[in-house]
Amino acid sequence: MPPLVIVTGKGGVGKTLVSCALARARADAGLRVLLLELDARESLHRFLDCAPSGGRIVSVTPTLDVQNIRPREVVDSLIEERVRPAWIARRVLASAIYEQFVQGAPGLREVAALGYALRATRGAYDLVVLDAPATGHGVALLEAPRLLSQAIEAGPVAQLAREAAAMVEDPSACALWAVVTPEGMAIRETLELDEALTVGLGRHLDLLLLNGLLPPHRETGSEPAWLAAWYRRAEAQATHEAHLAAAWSGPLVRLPLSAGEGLEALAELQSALVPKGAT
Amino acid sequence: MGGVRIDVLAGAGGVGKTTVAAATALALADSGQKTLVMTFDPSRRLKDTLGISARAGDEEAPVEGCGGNLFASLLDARATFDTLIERHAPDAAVRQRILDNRYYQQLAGSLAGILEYMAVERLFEVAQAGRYERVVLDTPPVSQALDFLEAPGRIVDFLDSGAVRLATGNWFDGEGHLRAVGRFGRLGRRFERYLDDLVGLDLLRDLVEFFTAFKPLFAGFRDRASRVEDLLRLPTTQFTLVTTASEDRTEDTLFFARRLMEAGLHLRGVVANRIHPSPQGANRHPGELAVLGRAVAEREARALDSAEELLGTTATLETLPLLACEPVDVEGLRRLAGLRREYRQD
Repeated sequence: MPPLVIVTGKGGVGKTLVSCALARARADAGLRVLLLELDARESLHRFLDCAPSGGRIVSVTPTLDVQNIRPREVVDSLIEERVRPAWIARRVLASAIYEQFVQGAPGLREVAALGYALRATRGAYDLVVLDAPATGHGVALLEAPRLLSQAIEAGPVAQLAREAAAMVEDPSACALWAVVTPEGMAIRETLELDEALTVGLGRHLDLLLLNGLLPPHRETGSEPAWLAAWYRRAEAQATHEAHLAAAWSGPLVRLPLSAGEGLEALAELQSALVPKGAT
Repeated sequence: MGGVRIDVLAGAGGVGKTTVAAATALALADSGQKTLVMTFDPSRRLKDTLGISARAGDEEAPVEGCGGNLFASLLDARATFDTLIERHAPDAAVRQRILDNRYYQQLAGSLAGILEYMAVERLFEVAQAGRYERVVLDTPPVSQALDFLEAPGRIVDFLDSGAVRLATGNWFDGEGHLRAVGRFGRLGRRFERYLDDLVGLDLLRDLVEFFTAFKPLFAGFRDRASRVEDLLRLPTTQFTLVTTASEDRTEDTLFFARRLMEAGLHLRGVVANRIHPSPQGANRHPGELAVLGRAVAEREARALDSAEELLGTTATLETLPLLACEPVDVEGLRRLAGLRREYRQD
């Protein structure tokens, strides 16, 4: 597995839970893992039962750290680190033009986040898992480094953009995973994402995680209406899964619907991920 | 403008907001009211659901099989922004300068809140034109649903910000050097070099040119943004929060409900969508799916109970079932619409 795994997917498919399950499974296996979240509204701590990050690194277990990335702080620290002497760095950080640049430069936030993840893989961690924004924004995230490196040619930000662009295009440096549910719209969006990545980055998604699958059943005809409704649901899932199988020939992992929420669901998902070799 | 009644559907991604918006609009259209449903979704799902042709874009297209009462429109941030510039630009030269500007071309789709702002901007336009009795707006699937409400205010703040005023100042001298650093001699040149390294002075020049060209539009823009904000506060504009029955989401939904009311907006109710079939009678079915079904239904019932308790009298809680198949045609939507009881007599 590459040192960075980026997990994306349509909203509501269980992307964050899958990211947590992967990070915890690898950390339990002894790797030093950093789980990064990009959404400013934190939710990782709810699944992992730890303190909210507030932008800092929070240790969940001796081998698992989580952090909510604040792209603005990443860019600021890059300036502080690279621009010398320090008073010029301070001037730059306080200038209106820098403010405008940080807020307005297209793709800068995305590049900062990816750059941060990239640096973490070179540092103290064996594996970095990035819980990326939902599908539509996921494409923007992955294409940002290339777009930004075209707009800015020199300096630390440009260099970071180039490094991040090389990273997302290289399957041995970063894996792209998408979580999908057996539903028409989620499948369609995921296939669209794969197509957009093929055009934009010249690579496919590395793995689909088909989440929320119902267990098999045998119909007897004497079921009460509520249970028959569950059966219809399971049959609809099977139809959608068949459509997906016809359109996607790459690697796929099937994950069951969990009855629980939070930690309980996480444990179930984690044990489903492990024997299936997705870790 | 007060004539049209507006329903805004808000909520996180993946809760079925787009489908609920379409079904709600269909229920209103079927009750004989001329209705427009507007969606702002990059995947253009409503287009598939309502069978609107690919070329519809920003146009309002009639939906087949709805007695001529239902229209649908897909919002496109870039197209709306372009139209706005065309309308507000004092002359053709200014207009072209903005549209051709490299910074504008990138900014039009990426400025924080711009997508949300364009949605309310279009809503304002439609409300003003008065072609419909009802408008149902499906909001962008943002994790921070409040972005949408704050968008007009944020645009005004942005236009008022010191950064913009500074950016429209006379930054560059005749030789293309930064004026401000000239006074500092060699140190100034060094500062300029750092800035060039960091952000690229070309991008800065684009930026300055963009804001300079944009300056004559500021007044009109600001005025419009505050009128858009007023429209959202009219009692005829009602918000519905769409969610699912999950304890994880309940907290967010209640937080949003409170913020809505604090902001002086009108909350119509909360819709808990995609509720799984709930078991009736004793547990006589030991199959794996039956056991899972029971557990999921129990979890959802707990989430609904706590949501109802926390909502109290603030807003009504309505539930919609998870359908075996997502409604993909007008008939499917109509079945879902039939379940939106509140709207049948509305």
